[in-house]
Amino acid sequence: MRECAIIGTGMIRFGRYPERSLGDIAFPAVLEALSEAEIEPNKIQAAWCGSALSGMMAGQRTLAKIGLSGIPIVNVENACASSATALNAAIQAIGAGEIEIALVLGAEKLTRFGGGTIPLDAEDPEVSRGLNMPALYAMRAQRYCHEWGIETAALAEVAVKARKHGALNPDAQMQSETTVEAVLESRPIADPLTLFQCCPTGDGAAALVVTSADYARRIGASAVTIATSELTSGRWTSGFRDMTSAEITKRGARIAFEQAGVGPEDIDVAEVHDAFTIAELLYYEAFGFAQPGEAIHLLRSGATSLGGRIPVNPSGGLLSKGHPVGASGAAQIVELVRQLQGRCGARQVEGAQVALAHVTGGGIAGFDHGACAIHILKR
Amino acid sequence: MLRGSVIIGNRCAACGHVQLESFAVCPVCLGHEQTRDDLGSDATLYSFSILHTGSASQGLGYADLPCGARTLVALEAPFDRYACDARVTLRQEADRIIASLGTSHA
Repeated sequence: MRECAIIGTGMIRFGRYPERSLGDIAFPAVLEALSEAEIEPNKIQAAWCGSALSGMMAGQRTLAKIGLSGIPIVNVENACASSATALNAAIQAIGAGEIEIALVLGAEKLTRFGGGTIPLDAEDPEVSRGLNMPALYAMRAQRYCHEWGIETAALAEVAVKARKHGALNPDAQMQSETTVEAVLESRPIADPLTLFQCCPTGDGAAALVVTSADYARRIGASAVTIATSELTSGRWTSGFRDMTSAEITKRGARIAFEQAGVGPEDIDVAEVHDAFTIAELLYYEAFGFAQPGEAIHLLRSGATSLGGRIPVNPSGGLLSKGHPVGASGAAQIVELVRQLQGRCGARQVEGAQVALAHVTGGGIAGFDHGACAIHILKR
Repeated sequence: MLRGSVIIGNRCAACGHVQLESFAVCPVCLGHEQTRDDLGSDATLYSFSILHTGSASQGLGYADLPCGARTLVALEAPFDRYACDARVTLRQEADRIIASLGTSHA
C-alpha cells in the first residue's frame, strides 16, 4: 500500500445558505483546494463526494460548476462519516496504485429541511417509535452521569470550550463565546441536553486534494501525509449495550493507533465527533486521552483546550463550527492539515506534528453507530 | 406484541436468540425458524430522556428485559420520577411499548 498525502484543502464557512444550490455551496471549497494544491482541474483522475442528505449525484452537481467531469465520480453516503469514508476510498485507490491524484469532497445542504433535528430513516424500528439523534445522545449522557456520579450540568463545560475555540475560527458557524449559565439556560432539547449542547444544523462543504506521497514529493508540495485511514462499521446487537463506552470508536482507535505506530500520548491535536457535549467526553475515554469516568477532569484541567497538552476540536468542533453532516469529515481533515502546516492563526496548536480525526455516522437500531472513520495525519 | 399483560418476543429455534422484532432470518445464526415467546412485563430502565423536539414533551428510554433483550420504550407521564436502573412495567399499545414505574408484582 503506497503512502498518501494531502496537498490541497478548501472549505467554506459553515452556516445557513438556503438561497444557494448544493453545487453553489460546494464548488468554492473545491476551487480553494485545487488552488492550494496548485493543480488544474484536469489533473484530477477521480473524485469521491460524501453527502448524506442532499440528494442524488451531489458530486456531479458540484463539480459540473467548474467543468470537472468525464472522470469517475463516486458519491458516498455513510451518514455523518460520509466524506471521511470518501477519503478512505480515495486513499485505497491511490494506495493501490490505481490513480495518482484524487479529489475528495464533502457537501451538505441541511437548510433544505427547514430546521429541526436531522431526518433519520423512518423504516428504522426505533426511529419509527420516536428516536432521534438528540434523544440517543441524551440517553448516553444520562447513563454516563448516573454511572460516574457526575452532575449533568457539567456537560455544559464542553460547549463552553467548543465555543471558545470556534470564536477563533473564521469558518465556524458559531463564532461567539458562551458561559455555563447560558448553555444551561438555552432551550431544552432532550434532557439533559440543551440547545447549546447540540451541534447546529446548517450547510457546508470541504474539499481535499489527495495524492500519493511520492507524487507530492516530486512536485515539491507542502504535503501532510496520512499515517492511517481506518474505517469500520458498528457491531449489531439487539441486547444490552454499554452506552457509556463508545464501542465502535474504541475498536477503531485501537486499530488506527496500531497501523500508524502511535499511541494516544503521541497525538498533538484531535478533531473528534462532538455532535453533542456528551460525545466529546466519551471520545476522550475511547481514545485513551482519559481513563473511564475521568473525561470531565481532563476537560477541566485545560488539557483539551488550546494551549493544553492535547487540544481537542480547535476548530470549534461540530458544536461550534457546525455539522453539515456529509461535509464534517472532510472539514476535520482541512482543519488538521492546516494545523500541521502551522496556518491556523489564533487557534494554532504550536508545534503540532501528529493529528487525529474521528467521525462517526448513523443512529440506527442495534448499533453504537453505523460507521466510524479515523485518520491519523503526520507532518 | 401484547398477550394479556406481557410482552411477546421472538426466539430463534436454533440458537435461542431473542428479540422483540420478528425476523425472517436469525441475525445471530441465520436460522429460519422462530417461536413466539412470553418475555413478561418487568424490565429495568437502562437510560432515558425527556424530549422537547415535538409539539409536546415525550419520554423515551431503553428498557432491559430479563431475557437479555433491550427495547426502546415510551415513558408514561409524569416523567420526573424516572431514574436509571428504575424497575418498570411494560405494556404494548399499538406499535409502541409503554413503560411505567414499578413492577407488575407491586
